Amino acid sequence: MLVPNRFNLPDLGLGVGLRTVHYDHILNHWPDVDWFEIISENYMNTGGKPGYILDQVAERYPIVAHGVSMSIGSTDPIDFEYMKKLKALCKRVKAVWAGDHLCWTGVLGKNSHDLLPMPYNEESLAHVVSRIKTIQDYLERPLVVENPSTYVTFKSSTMPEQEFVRRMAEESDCALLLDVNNVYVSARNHDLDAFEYLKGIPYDRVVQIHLAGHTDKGTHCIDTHDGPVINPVWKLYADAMRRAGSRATLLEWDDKIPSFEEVHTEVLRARRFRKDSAVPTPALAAK
Amino acid sequence: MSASRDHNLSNLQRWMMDAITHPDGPQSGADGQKPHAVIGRSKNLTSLERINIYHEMYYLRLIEILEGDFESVRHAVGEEFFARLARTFIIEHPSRHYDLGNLGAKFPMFLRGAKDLKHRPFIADMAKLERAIEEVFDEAQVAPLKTDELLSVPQGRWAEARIRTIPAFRLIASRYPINKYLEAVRKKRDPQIPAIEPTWICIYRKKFTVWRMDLDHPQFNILTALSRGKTVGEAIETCLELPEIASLDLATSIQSWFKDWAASGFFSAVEL
Repeated sequence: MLVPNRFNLPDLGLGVGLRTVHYDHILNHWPDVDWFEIISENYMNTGGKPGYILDQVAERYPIVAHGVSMSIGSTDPIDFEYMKKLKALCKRVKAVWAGDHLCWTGVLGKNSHDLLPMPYNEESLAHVVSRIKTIQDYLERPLVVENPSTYVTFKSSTMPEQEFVRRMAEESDCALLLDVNNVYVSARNHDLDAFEYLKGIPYDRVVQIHLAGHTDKGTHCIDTHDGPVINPVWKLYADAMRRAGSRATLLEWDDKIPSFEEVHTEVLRARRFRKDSAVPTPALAAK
Repeated sequence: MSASRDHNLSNLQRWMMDAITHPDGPQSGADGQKPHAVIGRSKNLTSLERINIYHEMYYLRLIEILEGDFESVRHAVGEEFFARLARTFIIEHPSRHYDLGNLGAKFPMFLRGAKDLKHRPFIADMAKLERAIEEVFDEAQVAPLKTDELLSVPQGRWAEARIRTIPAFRLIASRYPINKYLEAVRKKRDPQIPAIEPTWICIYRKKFTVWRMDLDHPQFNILTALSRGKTVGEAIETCLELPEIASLDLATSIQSWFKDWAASGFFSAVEL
């Protein structure tokens, strides 16, 4: 495996999200997939079948823990009960890395169960950087933070998202998960140029890329993860791979989930962009 | 908050959370602050339309979770009325835990007190059963006591033994045949609201599969007492007054019940 990032985290290849509807197929066939990503919260509070399945999967495949409830950007205190369970889960499945989103999910104890957007300004940046540092200290590993899909922009923002992401990563020394579908969705929703966004990303910190489908409502896009990847998103992926070199890549498919084979086939389409892109990042070249 | 003058992060998050969860929509958010003061517009959508995306998704997402967890309740009250009930529940009991599996924990209690709900005792019991299934699914896994281990209790010390049930074990008594109704919904038989028919059920997990078992009233009383930490002797006493006992050879029945229950994996330990 190549190690083209400053965290020495491996390029795991092409992975698929571990989803309930595929459990039987996976246990019966042990498919030739490179790795699995789990939604951390689905396994943190269960002593039942999900954990039993996960343990078997983790014996055979690399696992990445990808959460949706860390609420990195919230002004509520960090939930250390949550962090404790996440840390234990990562240890149990030997998670290659753990991450979540640049977002907040609730405030004053109330949870929206959505990935809510941050205003991109100095106050938010200082807040998020401080929280990521605390979380990384607790988890004793770099946190892998994903750019979100967003549907609003705040009047209090003072910088573009990509600048916020770059400064957040550099100042907190975290890793990044670049979701090129989210880049596309947000760019469409905010009338921005997605390729300009990709130019601003510090690729030596990108350890993983997400692909997904979305729903185009005409006036805006919703990040629904309910279909195949559209060509404009593949173009963004190709661009990111040219800039980054080969990176662990995962397809998210969370609604109207087809057969495992179909999901796996869809992510394998990424091969055509990966074989020419094993270019070391500047950070690696400098070592 | 005056979001237009003071955009500090804490205030902004409070404003947005209130806007997207407000029952009357984002325009009714905190302090009457209007979305256009906080949110920019896009080429196609106004500020209000943009924040309304989050508002709509908030209720849709949480109602969908409750629909999945309470399929039989939904069948009993109808889809439209269920959505209204679920929305009211979410407004009165917003999620305060990161685990969406906890969202419906108070739903049975909410239904028990819901006004304008026909067949309320039946609906509330259905919700209790469906919630118990969710809880048993996720409970901690504990190695079950083997039948041989249970039978190793010396004959003369049975009455003083305390037999612990596994964590993934729940007991429900209802005046209605809720287990039959749930089964009929799952088999898409379109069941009607049933007449009164007292039932006793245990819900348990064996080899990572959740099962439901209909019980007799004496069986229910014994298992309830055991699960509350009573001794076997005390547990048996709880059913001695029941009329159902009259037709039983109690000693033989109890021996048979305990063997079956141990084989089903109900117990985790026996203490003397």
